[in-house]
Amino acid sequence: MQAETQKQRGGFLHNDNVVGYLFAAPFIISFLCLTLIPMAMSLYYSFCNYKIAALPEWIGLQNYANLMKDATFRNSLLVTIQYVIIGVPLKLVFALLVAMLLTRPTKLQGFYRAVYYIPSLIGGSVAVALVWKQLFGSRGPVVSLIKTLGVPNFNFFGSTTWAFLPLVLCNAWQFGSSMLIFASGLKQIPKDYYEAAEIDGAGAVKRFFKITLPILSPIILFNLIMQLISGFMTFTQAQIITDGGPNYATNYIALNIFKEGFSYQHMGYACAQSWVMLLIMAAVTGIIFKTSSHWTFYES
Amino acid sequence: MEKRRAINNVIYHVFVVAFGLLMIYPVLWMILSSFKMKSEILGTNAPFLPSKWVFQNYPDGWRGSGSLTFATYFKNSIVVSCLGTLGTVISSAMVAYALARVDFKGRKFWFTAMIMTMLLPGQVLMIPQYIIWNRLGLVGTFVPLILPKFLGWPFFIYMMMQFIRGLPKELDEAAMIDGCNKYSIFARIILPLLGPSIITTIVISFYWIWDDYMGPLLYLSKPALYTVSLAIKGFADAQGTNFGPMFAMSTLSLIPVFLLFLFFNRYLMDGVTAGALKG
Amino acid sequence: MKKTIIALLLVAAMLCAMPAFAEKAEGWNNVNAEGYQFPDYSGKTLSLMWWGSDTRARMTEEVIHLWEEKTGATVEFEYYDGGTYWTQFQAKMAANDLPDVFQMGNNWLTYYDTIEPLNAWIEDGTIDTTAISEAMLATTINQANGDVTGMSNGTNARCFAYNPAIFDEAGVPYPTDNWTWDDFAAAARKIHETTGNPAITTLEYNSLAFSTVTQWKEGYNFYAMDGSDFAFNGDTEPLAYIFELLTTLQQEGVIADYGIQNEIGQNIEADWIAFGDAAMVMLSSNQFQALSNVAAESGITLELATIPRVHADGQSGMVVRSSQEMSMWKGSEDKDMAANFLNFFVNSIEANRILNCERGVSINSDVLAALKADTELTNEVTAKVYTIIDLIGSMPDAANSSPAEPAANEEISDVLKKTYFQGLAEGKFASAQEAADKFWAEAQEIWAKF
Repeated sequence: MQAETQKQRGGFLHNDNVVGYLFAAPFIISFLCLTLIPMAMSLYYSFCNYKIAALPEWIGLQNYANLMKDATFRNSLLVTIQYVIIGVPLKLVFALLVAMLLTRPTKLQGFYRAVYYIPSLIGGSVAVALVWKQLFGSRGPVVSLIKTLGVPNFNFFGSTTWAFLPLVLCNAWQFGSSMLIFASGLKQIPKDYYEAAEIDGAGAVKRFFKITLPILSPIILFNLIMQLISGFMTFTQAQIITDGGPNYATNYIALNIFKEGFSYQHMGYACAQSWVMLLIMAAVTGIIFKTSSHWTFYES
Repeated sequence: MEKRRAINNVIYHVFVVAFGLLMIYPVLWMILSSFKMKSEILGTNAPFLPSKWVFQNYPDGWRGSGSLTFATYFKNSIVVSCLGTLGTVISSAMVAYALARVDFKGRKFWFTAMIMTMLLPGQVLMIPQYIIWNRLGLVGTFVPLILPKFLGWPFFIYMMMQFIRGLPKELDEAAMIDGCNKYSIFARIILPLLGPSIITTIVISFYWIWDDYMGPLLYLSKPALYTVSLAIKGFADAQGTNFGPMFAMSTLSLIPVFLLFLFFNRYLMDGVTAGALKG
Repeated sequence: MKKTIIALLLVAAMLCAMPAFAEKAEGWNNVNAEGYQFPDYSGKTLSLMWWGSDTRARMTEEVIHLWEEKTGATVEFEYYDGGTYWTQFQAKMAANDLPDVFQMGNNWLTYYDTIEPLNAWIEDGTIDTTAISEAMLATTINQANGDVTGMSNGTNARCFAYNPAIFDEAGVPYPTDNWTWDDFAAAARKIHETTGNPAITTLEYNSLAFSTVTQWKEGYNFYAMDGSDFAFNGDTEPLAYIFELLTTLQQEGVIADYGIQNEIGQNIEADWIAFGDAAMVMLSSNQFQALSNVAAESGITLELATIPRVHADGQSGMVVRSSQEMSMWKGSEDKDMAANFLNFFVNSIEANRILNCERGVSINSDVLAALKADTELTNEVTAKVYTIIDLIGSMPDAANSSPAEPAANEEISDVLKKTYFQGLAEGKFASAQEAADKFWAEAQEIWAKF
């Protein structure tokens, strides 16, 4: 097939390699000029004692050796994984449900979507942090409710066990972009698929599993990968709501890296942590990509 | 049957509205706070509605700090966000097309490279990137914020790739037979069918650029170039924060993104454009 | 004849020397004097960077314009919120492209390589220090080598604010100038009993631990004065004492738990004391104005007190420090001009009537006198700040309690709070003594990394 088209429209500009590189050029340029050099530099720094104020000084594998016995780093990996395992599915399921809820054709659909989308617009601002602290604070409505249920002296932000929950909820609450992507994916599903299924007597549940999920699977894969990455990178909320506390219960890896690099002046060590994190994430995304061929369906 | 549908409808709307209120409670809180005195914003038993409406927060906030008002900051944010969004859409669609539909050598490599770029935390890339822009003499301009958007944004590239892969390949093949080449397939077949994901890209990338704080912080370096998100942070300090004006300006800063959403969402709704794909 | 010639020569020599002599006359460099001449910097550009709120930005810009008018120079300035200022600063530092003048904190040892010492301009008089006492100047001097790292924009001190109405309600005496931790614990317990609320919410754990070491015995300090090393001798008893005291009080509910402290976080104005829900707070004296403003909205008047000490007749452990100074960049291309700006910023009464000690109490006694004399600029609240700064500054041990912050301090302080104070509350250590010993061991490990 490919050879055939090549023959049909010969000429340099129509060679697949040329077309490919022409269209991919923007990314390749940015990768070579703006990303590759900084990535290489951070890899180099990870073998150095680098304080920003002074020039990097080569120390070999010392940073990586220190990582092995760094309890704070280990803890931050663990709490990050906990955050990702609980937070990512929650957010995705939530976003998909709301997206489906709001595809129902009514005059108010646009308005409803806008309302559900607003929370995402205010991002990681100071306002969100303050609201969250008041909502989940020691005198806030949520804690009052829990106290009436018979748990005295309960307090989210003082509890190493529960401090992560307001952060996970805050992340799930800002599901707007995932919802929008699901919504536009749902829109791409041809209506006659459903009509045909309905004629065949398939119920709503069956239609969801037999039509919606398979056709949406590439989008689900995309949202899953992206939410995993952003879950691993979670930073702003942990910084402005809990500052990693109490007793490192929400000291997520990106926050720990930021503290090491900028507050404590160990930029080389921070880079080493980043590369370990990169390896872990590359393994996780690699596994998902490998298995995805079994559960994603592309039109072809 | 009709009756049951009507009841269903009522249940649906009641549920969506009730749940929606819960969703936007924090946003309402912020908007109402922009009319409150400080003690009512921060108090442990603060009322939901302002006990006394303070409208002064708006003019106080608008005048910003020093000789520049928020008019400048809004103008800057609009310039950066519009150009950045434009760049994101064009470049990401192009790259996505190449990676999803063109069978060129090294395609897998570049796809992997793109995913890898997202796996390093921005915190460690910040300094080397800053050094590069500084060497280029472009710190203190909008260029470091806008130019990279014209060079593809991995998140949106990958998103559009997934949408393109959802389009039947037969379409391309049919177009080929009709005499289209790879360029005209992109322009005439793929782009029009990508409609929903392009709208999504516009809406999401606009507000991400609008909300971005780290980029403006590092690269703008003079107040005349500050964006709204950076200027709003200027109200906050450990030594005392002007909460009322800060929330007033945060509320105003929601309006452009909200309007943009309302405008573009029409194209994501059913019934407005006919289902683009028919088997 | 010969005598006449010599006389003439002498006169001529004197005439030649006259202009130079006149220029260097007493007070020639006093920016507040009638005849002070600003140099002409037309066509030149000075860059400047600071952190702070919009209020500060407005005032600072006004002073900048004043200096621009007087010298003809153009000032390019930028400002950020305190939290992210350092990220921005480090990026500029990495690119070796800092502004001519930048605001610096007590952490100047960390950024020492970027700072040009001001000694030369102080010696030649460009920066006038006649109205600045030695103690005040010393707040920004590196004691290891005498380098002046910057001109302080104002000094402040860590202290306690309290609500006298709640003390009255609980029937406990107000804090005295030398109240002890025992006095504090007794008062706080009584207040907690009466109100049912925590008596105090926000505490700065790391600085309390360090000041307890200083208070313990004469000659004790955690860091060496020049920040080059620990001064701590390994006697962890004072650390165990403060660990035990604060943790016990917290478990009794007298001190708010870490959850509540986290909720308040960096927002001093959100502290419960501002709403009558707590009786005390530990703060920096330059936060008192903002806190008082919020409290006033609920009809609450606050007072300032010293930090409790271990022995009533012992060391205070308190210190007047420069929290913010303006420093000159080592790579600045026109350092004389930068020095002239620094002089104007710190010494000019005209400029400081605008700045009005918002960054901290002015170190220039002429400036301070002018501000205090003006009832429009000095209100009840600022007067309380002036009083506490005077009080703390006059304490006998004030001068030897102010070590420079070593580069390792940030990490050591964070670990002290999160691993040890919070870990002790979580029951991760068998005793306060164990926590203290382990902390000291880890602090030394952290130091070794620098």
